[in-house]
Amino acid sequence: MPPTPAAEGPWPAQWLRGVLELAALAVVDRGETYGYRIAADLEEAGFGAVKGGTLYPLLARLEEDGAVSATWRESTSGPGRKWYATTPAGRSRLREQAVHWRAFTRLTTDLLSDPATTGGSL
Amino acid sequence: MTDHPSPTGVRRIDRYCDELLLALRMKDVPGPRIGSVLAEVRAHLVDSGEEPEAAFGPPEEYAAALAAPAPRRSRAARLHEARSGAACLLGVVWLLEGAVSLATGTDARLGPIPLGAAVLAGAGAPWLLEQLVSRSRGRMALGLAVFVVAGAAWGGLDLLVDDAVGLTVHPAVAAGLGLSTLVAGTLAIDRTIDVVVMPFDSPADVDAKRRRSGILLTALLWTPLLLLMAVVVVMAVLLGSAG
Repeated sequence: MPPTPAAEGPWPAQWLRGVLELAALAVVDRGETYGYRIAADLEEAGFGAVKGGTLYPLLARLEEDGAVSATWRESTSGPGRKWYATTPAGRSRLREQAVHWRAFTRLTTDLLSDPATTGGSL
Repeated sequence: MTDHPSPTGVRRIDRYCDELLLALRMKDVPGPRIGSVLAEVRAHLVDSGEEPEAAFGPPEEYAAALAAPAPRRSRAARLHEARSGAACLLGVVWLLEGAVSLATGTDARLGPIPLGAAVLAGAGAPWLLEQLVSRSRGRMALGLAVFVVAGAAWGGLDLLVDDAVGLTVHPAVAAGLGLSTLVAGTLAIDRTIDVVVMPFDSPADVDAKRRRSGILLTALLWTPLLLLMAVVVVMAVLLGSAG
C-alpha cells in the first residue's frame, strides 16, 4: 500500500515561485477581486500564506502584461482598493497555461509513479 | 479582515510607507506608480492587520522587487532639463555680477566666458544629479573633475578675454537680467516635478501638490544661492574697502 503524503504544505518555495502567477490569475478569473482577497483565496486553496511582498509585484507584472486590468474604487467600510479582473488576453493565457500545466504535472506524476524512478516506494 | 488599525498600527504603517516612498524615489519610479503602490500597501495592511515588514519585507527590498528598469528619458525631456539648469546658473552668474558691482560701485561686465561656462555647467548639472541618484560613482567623479577643470579654465580665460570683449552694463541691468533668468529657469524646473499621485487624488489635489513641491524646490535651490551671493558681495565690499 502506497504511503499517504504528509500534511499538505508548506510547499517548497521553488514550486510556489513557478506556479503562483498562474494560480493568482486563476483566482482573479473567478470574478473581480482585490489584493488581500486574492491572498486569502490562495491560502484557502491550500497554497499557504502568500505575503503581500510576493503577491503585489506578481499582480503588477500581470497588469503590465495585459493579463489583468485594475481599477481603484473607494470603499465605505475600509480603505480604497485596487480591483483586478482578467482581460480577454488574460483568459486565453490562463486557458493555454492550464493545458500546459496539466501536461507538465502528468509527466511529473508518471515519472514519479514509475517504480524504476522511485524504487517502488510510490 | 480587521476593522481599523490602532493608532500605533497607523503610525507603523505611516513610517513604513514613508521609507518605501523614499526607496521608490531613489529607484526613479514615477510619482503616479508610487502613489498606487503606497495605497495598495496601506489597503493590504489595514485589511490583513499584518505588520508592515512581515507582509512586505524591508522597504528597500520591496522597492527593488517593484521597480522596473527606469525608462530612458526622452531627448526633449533631457534638453528641457539642460536648458533649465543652464538658465538657473546663468541667472546666478549675472545676478552675482550685478550685486557685486552694485556693492562696489563699479560697472557690471557681461562677458562671453562666464556666459558659456554657466550654460555648460548648468546644462551638465542635471546629468551629474542623475549619476548621484543612480550611484554611478565613477561617472560622478569624472563629471566633477570636468567641472573643476572647466571652472579653473573659466577663471583664467575670464581674466584674459573678458576685459577685452565683455559688455559693460549698469549693475542694476545685470542684476535684473540675472534675476529674471534665474526665475525663468526655476519655473521651468518646477514644471517638471513628478509628484506622488494617490489613486483618489483629484486634479485640484495634484495641482496643489505640484505647487507645494515647486515652492519647496525653489526654497531648496535659492537658499544656498542667496547665501553664496551674500558672502560674495560682503567679500567684494571688504576687499574693495581694504584696497
